[in-house]
Amino acid sequence: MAGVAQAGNPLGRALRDVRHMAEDRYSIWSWIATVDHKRIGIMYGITAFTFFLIGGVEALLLRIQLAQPNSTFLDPDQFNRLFTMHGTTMIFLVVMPLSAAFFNLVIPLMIGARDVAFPRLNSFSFWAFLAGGIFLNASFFIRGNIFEGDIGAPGAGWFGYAPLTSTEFSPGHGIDFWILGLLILGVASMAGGFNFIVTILNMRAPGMTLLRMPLFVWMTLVTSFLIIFAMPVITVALFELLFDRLYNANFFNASVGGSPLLWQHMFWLFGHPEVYILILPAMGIVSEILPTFSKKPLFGYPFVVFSGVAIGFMSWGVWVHHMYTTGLGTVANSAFGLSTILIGVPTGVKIFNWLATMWGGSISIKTPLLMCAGFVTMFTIGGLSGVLHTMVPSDFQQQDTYFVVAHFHYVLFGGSIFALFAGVYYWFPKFTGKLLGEGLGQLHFWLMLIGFNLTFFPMHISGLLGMPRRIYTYQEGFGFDTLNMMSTVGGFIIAASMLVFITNFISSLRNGEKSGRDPWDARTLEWSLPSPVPNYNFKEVPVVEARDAFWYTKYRENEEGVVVRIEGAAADDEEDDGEGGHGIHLPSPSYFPLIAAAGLPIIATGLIYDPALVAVGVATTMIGVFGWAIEPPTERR
Amino acid sequence: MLAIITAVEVALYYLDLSRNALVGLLLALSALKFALVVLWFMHLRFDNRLFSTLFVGGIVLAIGIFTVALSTVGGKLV
Amino acid sequence: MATSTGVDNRKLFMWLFLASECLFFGSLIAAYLLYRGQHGVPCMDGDLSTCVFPTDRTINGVEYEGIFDIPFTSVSAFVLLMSSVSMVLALAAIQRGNVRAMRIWLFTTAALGALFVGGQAFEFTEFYREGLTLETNLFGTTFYVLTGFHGAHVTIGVLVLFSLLIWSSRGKIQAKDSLNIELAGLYWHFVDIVWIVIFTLIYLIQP
Ligand SMILES: [Cu+2]
Repeated sequence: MAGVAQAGNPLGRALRDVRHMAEDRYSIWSWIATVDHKRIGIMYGITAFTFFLIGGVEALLLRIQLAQPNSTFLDPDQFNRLFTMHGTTMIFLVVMPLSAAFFNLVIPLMIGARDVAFPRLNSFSFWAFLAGGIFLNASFFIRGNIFEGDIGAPGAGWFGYAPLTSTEFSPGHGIDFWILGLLILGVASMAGGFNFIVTILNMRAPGMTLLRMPLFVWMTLVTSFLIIFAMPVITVALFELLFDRLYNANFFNASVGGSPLLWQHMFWLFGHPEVYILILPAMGIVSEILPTFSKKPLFGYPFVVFSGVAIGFMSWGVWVHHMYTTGLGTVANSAFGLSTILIGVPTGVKIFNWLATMWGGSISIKTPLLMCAGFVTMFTIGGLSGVLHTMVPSDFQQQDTYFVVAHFHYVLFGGSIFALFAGVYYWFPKFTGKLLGEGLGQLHFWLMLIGFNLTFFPMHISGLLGMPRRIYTYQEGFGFDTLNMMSTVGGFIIAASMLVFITNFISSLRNGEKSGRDPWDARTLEWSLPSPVPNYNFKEVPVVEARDAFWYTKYRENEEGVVVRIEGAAADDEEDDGEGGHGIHLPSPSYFPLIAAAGLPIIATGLIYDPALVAVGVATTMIGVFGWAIEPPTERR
Repeated sequence: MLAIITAVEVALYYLDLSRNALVGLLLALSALKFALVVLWFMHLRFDNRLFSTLFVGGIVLAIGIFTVALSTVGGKLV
Repeated sequence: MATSTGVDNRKLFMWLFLASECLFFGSLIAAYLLYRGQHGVPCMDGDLSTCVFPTDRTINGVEYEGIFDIPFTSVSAFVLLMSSVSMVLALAAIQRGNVRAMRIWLFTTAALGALFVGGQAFEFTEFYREGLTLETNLFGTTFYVLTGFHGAHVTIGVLVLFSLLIWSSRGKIQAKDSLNIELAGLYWHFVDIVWIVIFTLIYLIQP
């Protein structure tokens, strides 16, 4: 098992030296080479939050431009590029990786595992995500061929409809950066998808049957399946577009018979499952937090699981609702209208189950619960406006107006982002040992809720009044003025709430209240571990005897049928300092996933500018992959 | 076995059959070849059910969504 | 290591990957099928004499000769199919613990694979000489991209097989490591069945 670390060989010795540097838990190298799912999760979270701030600034610039009619703060071209980058960033660089952060942080803990199935692949996912994110944003600093001196970011919308993305209508390299950035991000999320499916199916602790798995684990499983089946479709579509742009292929070239509808089909075949990739993890988080803060098990667990799985299947049969106005015909429109109405049913089931979970519970109103309540209400509003879109004639009216913008922000911000923040407040103590400040937390919640509604509720009205989306300005006198000013003010209130959150985060990290193992009297296995969780997770792999595994080690019914706390159960006495588990073999840190991922943006840059760079990139990735294959996963001490 | 099927397929291509018969026969023979490789070479017939469920799931999903997508834009599958 | 489902992590990974690849090739094939009815229409400048068609056809009384060479591609398809057989033999050999036989069959598989890729390179250059490029028409675009991606998969497979050969020459693959060969085999057979589909749908069945 000597592998590359053979003594005598100078390269091998050098490699071994860097590897040893990574073993010091406090050095920066230990983060760069880490294969620990918790550290990877933290890096995912921080990176994605940084992109959230970037995407947020883009949104604020758009809102400044739209605050008043006939504004010249941005020119139309800049406006296009900013809303394209805003949408792409928020979906691929924020909500997806923030969900991935939680997959990484809690999935192995919830199922009683010491790590994911493929720790180095996990690290590769993160580095490829970072590489793709940086590559995509690098487009701001390139220059287009025609718009010399302008920013070079892509400007054809996050959906990149053909033929707008052709070299004729989108000259310069912005779209190329967009395509290649998304391809790299696709590799990252597919690798993560495979990894988490194998982890969840194969790494469960004894007794953790499928129907005892926490809801968040279930939703991660469904999401991962959607990722591995939906991503290949967009990958092919992006490659086709890339070949059209770089090598004059004709996939979407209407002048020789190419069909722009092919792009739309492939994009939405991916795009609608993607919507559920963005929302199912959030639903999973909420399904963990509501029972904990209501002191009741999740109402109708099998129904919630089943409706999540049903959503996963049905999400493949509704994509044409994005294409009603493309003239596919009455039959297609009616059929997909019907299937879209039907997919609302399992979603509704979930909402009623959440309400029933809280009903009659002894609710403790803390920030995580407030964020979840925000999720349930805002998501329901977004879901209802979504139902309006399922009806073809009404969709014809709303197509491309701010009504649609209002709808998807209610589900993606009001839904996903609220739930993801709920997750941050809920699990922060588990990984830091400190509680996030409750006062600032509630301030954050209320500011965000008010700001959010002030921003997006008026868009329903401006949309119904006919204000088109993706247009850089509007004339006065259409009744849009006040509504847009409200939206802009709301946007800045959301920004303020983020400042509150950042302050809270930093100050709590420094001198937050100590949380102990189980600050919320929670139900799932991660809370049976010390906070912060030691690097080997479980000293002994737990044996699971019931759903809500940890809860049943703490409480039981007495003779009168009253639930009482078992004395001395899960006491906080022995604080584990993380030094206990010397006998446990953990996967060794590795640099090769980083090297393999680093080759990807080099290849991408080379495809745009210089074939020689492609060779360099391929070589880099090959070195990474071969080193990875040869290097033993665990070094014997 | 596989070799024979391929030979028959190519022979069929050169025979003067009606188009529908040809398409039907060719598809059937290829499906047979496909099945032989998957079931025996890839051991799906003897291996864990999980694997066949996943793989068949992928194939059915791909065929399903693209049949619908192509039929809405007037494409023909074969 | 014991897993919850009883199946090996890496093998589960490989099957998930192959299931996901079905969607990848499905998308490429769908694009080809969508445009196949229009292969006669599109030519860059509308001049049919510059047009290249997959098979013989008559348009406005003029006969155009198709570009596909069915006997040649049949041989290629046969070569790839036989490489699957030798892959099966390689796995059977290592499972019996016969490293030498495994090495012989692995080499045969890789060589047949390389032969297939060589045949494809030859086919591409022939087509290119006859005037079919990525730009020529929808047929050129969809044909080269679909078969090119398949060829890239075969190439990667050949690289993997050669890496395994080198690895085994250092005595690193014994009967207990047969999973490595099994996984490479699964990938290899998958690439083979994709070609069965492409060969039937693209070469044999014509509109
Ligand atoms: Cu949709």
